Amino acid sequence: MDIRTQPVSPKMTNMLSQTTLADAQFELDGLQKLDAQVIGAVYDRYFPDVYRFVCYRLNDEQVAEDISSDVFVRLLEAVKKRSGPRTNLKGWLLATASHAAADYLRHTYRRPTEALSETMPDGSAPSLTDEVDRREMVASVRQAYNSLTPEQQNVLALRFGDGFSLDETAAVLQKNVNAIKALQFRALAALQRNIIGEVADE
Amino acid sequence: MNEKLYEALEVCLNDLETGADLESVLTRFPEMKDDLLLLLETSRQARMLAIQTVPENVHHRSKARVLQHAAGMRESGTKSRRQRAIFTFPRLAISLAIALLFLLSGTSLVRASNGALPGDNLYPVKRTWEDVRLLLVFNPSSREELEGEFEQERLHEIDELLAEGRHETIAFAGVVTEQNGDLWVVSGVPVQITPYSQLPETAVTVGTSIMLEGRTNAKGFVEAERVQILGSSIVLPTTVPTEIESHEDTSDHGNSGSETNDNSGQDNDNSGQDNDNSNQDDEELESLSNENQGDGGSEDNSDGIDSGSNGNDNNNSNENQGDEDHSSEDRSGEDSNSEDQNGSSDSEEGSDENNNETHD
Repeated sequence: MDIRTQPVSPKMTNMLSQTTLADAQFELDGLQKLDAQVIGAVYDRYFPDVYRFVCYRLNDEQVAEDISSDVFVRLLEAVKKRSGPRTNLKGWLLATASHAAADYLRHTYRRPTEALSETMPDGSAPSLTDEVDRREMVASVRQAYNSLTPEQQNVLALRFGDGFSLDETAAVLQKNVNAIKALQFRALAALQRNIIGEVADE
Repeated sequence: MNEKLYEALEVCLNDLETGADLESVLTRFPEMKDDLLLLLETSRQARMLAIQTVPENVHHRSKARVLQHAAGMRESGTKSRRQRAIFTFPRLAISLAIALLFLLSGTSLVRASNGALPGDNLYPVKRTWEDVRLLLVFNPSSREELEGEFEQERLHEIDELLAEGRHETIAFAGVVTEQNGDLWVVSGVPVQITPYSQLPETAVTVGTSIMLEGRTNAKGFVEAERVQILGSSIVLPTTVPTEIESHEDTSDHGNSGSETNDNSGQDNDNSGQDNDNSNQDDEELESLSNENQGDGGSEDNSDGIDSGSNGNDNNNSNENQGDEDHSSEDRSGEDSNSEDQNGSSDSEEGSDENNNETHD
């Protein structure tokens, strides 16, 4: 399974995007024919990215699971109607996921955030107070994140949720690299301000 | 300044991602250290929101859902293709059926109406088809030819009506060829002038072209109801008493006896039997019936020695007309047959029987 746990270097990203280009037609052909094997392969390849992206944006694993699988269903429908992606399959999937997440947020009351992850990132056994601190920190970051603009949320979700490189993020968001650099800077700055503001409020 | 900061942040983020230490990363941009420190700290917090791994059960559950949907799409895809096929099929079928209906109603109905006589249900179809054919002919000479053909057809119909002894209202144009008091012969059709017949003011003499309305009767005559004199410009059947209608006709009326009427009836029956026995093409049927008629004629000959040679002549003329009116291939055969008949002695029944055998 192609579940990315390590961030991808730009070099590796270039390699990946090249293979993506090479495989794109094969993948799209297979999707068009509803070839179960190709669908399975495409799913395995891209589902983690989509799922983690939606999780990051919505902070709801159940909803993220629904939306993510729905994104792949939409992919099949779109390819069948020939309105699907031409080359950038990953970009299409994540853009669709972004729209789906935005739709979800529009149509549902944004629930109070819960701590998403039960496991520590570093895997070290945390003390109880550390765990409480971490949870509080995550909650405040989540709240700060939710106040960001959708674009800023997307950039952070892609870069820190999916570990995408600047190039990949730019490809998904269909912006040039410099715009993404500025966007991520402003997103982080805004996030930081929001966190500080929340802390100050408390 | 801002661009440099954006760039520096990006470099730092990449360095951190590849496992570099925060302090060492910041030393690369001492002048922006404070700004970067805060943002990098925030980025670390932002990373905390991310899930590290996708739970396997989620991955599999969701994958199963997607694949199931794909299977459903495959199913419905083939179904919808089938449905589309069914949907497009009727449209195609309907248009084809309509086209076929037109074609068939144009040919089979007309073909069926070919033998229709006045008073038959299909007779209007026959007449309409004739009108249509006339409409489609623009060449005056061929139009005239066609009109003549149709007038011949009228006479032929009357002959058949008379042969069947039916009472039908008819109208036809013809040339008066004989006048024996109230009994006229108009283009070969025996016509009886009754006291109720409306005659034109000018006297009708032999050779006059007339339009005659009347009724056929069982006695083998047309009872004239109305006679009109036609202008010379009007197309008429050839002035010679009709050839096409017939051999039966000429032999019948030449003998002018009820026997021959019966004979012609038998002839019709014969041809009818042929029709029943073999589902052959119309042309073959025509040729068969012609030949039967020919045989009938020769039988007549054997019956009546006086008219024997006439009968054979009639045969010849009949088949010669066949040449004119029908497709040529059958005819050549018939001609040779008739020549054979002529070549062998007229009254030899043996040769006739041989002919019968070969034809049957």
